[in-house]
Amino acid sequence: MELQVSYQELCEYDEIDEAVVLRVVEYNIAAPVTGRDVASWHFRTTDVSWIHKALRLRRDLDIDWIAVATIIDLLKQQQSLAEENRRLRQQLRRFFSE
Amino acid sequence: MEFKDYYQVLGVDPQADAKAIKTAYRKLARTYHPDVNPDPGAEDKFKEVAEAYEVLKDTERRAEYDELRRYGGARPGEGFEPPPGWESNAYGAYNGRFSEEDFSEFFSSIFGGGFRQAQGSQTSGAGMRGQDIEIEVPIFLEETVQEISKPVSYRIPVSVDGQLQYEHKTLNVKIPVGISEGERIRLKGQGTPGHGSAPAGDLYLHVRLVPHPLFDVEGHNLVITVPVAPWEAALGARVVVPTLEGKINLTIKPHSQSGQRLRVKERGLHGKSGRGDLYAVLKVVMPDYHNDKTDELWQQLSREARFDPRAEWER
Repeated sequence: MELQVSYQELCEYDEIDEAVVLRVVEYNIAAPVTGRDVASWHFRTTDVSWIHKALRLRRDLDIDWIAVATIIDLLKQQQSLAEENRRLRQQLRRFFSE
Repeated sequence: MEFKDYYQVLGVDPQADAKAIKTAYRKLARTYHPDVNPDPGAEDKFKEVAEAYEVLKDTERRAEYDELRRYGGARPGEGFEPPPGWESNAYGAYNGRFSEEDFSEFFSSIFGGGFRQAQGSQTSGAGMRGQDIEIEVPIFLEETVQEISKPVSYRIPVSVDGQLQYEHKTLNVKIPVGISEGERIRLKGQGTPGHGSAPAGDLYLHVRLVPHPLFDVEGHNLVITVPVAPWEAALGARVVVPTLEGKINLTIKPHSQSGQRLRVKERGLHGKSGRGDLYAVLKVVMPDYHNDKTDELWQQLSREARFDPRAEWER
């Protein structure tokens, strides 16, 4: 069971090119949680999932990294806002009588 | 088997050039890509569109498809079978978009051999790694404050003699303390089996915290709404409040307001940087019951308090 994945594992096991890993970090699609130098980077599995999503979008939609990063950024925002909206609605329901 | 009209799927004319086909594909892919479209039918639609593009973008493969189309595949309402002895020669240009299970029976019957050979050449005969599977796992808040084992059941698509079947699997998974909403747990090699000697894909458990009847989650903090009587808010009180691990006594100071948040340290969820807090939000509730005596007391209070809750409106 894993909650984090090392840079090396991401390249070898997940078969992601080293240059691609650097790109996803450069465009803030995923951020390493530990490690100062590249070789000791570790990523959260949640971010690994975003990386795979980014790679699928890049391949299937045939778009450049800036477009991929923009989509991922908006998807993250949308997910976070949907979650906040759900939580606030729930709190409002508790606080106000019908 | 039904003949698939790939031109119709992409909404282009059979005479369309490569540029028009690419434009049509990109437009539809943008709409139906399962990573941006959460609708349940989007993934199937995307696969259909991508399959059509896989054939029509490749000159050799498109020529073979057009030949079959002329052969009579496009006759509506009739089943389709490839001509006897049909074998595709369009081996190249497969870009790894799909695994075998993603293709329709129609595609496999026409390009099956070529597709498999193209795959083999890409991976030096080792086959292709199995697909990852992601499933949502509901976790109760109470389950996040101690390590638990949870049975997780899911289905794996497997190809048996060219037929797509599902294998049911159950794993007992340890859920670590402090797991939070949206996190993904990876279980290596528990996804779809690989082709040939290639490794299996992984299983991702997408953690969803089950909404709790009493507590709301804000990061690693918990929020509970505490109903209080008007006199408890006015005079102060000690009330019993539930937490995830038993009850505590909460002191409400005199002259508290409805909506006020009281912090109870380290009674929230576990996080990377320690434990979150529990916030008790006071909600002043009027009593259901009243009689002449209580009405008289409220009137007396009204005269004494000289309180205008809408005074701000007059400013």
